[in-house]
Amino acid sequence: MSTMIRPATPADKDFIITAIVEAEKSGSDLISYCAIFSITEAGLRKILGDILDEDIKGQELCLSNFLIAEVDGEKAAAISTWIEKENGMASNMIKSNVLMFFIDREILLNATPLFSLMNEISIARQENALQIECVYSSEGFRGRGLTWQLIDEAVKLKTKSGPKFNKVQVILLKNNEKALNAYRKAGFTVVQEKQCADKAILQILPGDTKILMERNIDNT
Amino acid sequence: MEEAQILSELNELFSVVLKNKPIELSYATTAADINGWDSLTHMILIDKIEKHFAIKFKLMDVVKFNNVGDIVSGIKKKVSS
Repeated sequence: MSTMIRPATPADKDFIITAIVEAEKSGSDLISYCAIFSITEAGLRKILGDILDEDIKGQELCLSNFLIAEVDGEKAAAISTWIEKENGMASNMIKSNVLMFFIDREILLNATPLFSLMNEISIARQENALQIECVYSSEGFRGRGLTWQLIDEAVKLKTKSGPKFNKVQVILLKNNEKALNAYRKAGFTVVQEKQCADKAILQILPGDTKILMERNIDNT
Repeated sequence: MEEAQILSELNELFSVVLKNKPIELSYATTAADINGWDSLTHMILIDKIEKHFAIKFKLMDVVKFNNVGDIVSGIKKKVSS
């Protein structure tokens, strides 16, 4: 079995869209973007394709932020990574800007009460920390450690090319126990937790509690 | 339109959207400096700014808005074009 990790190219767009959608589901059937904006999965996939075409850096929905793991020539896993505030602006602000241009403005503004719920459990990412998002392995390739290979490669690449960083961070839903335990085994610890008191959040997210996990990196 | 005038009008818009009076914006102000300026209110602010100044930003404009000064410059460019 031969595994190759490489930067994503436009030819990976469909695979990356699947990675984003499946990561959003977090093991459930609920896709938060669809629930918030009342759009179908097909509609979301089209919007994500348009966003990826723009390749806006500093946030997760950016094609060139993705690494792809190929096993015997087949796309098997993906991950999006970036350095938080590398260009000054927080990733959640950049993503808001991006969404404004690809989601109908009225739909977006009508969704503000739902965004308020999301904001209750929004966790700030640390400036200059390497961020991990949209972690995905295809069904036949799970349990092979591809995620860790992708993270290790991202750390190597960003160490060579980006600003100095000393930690890797990931935000996930607390009820995604499988992922939480896997990150713990890989040396990540929970450093922050936020729970939404309003159970209406469960209509738009597969869980009501977000956690920030991180692992220190020796980059001296 | 002068930048000082744009800044003054932005100050009023921010105060209304963030319900956070008094707000005193400067060109160097960032979201981190203003209580309530988060990813949600940012979208509302950009929408209000576009409507107030009757302009339409491009995606590549707004993703470079690191501080209020960038927003002022973006507005100035649009209203004078």
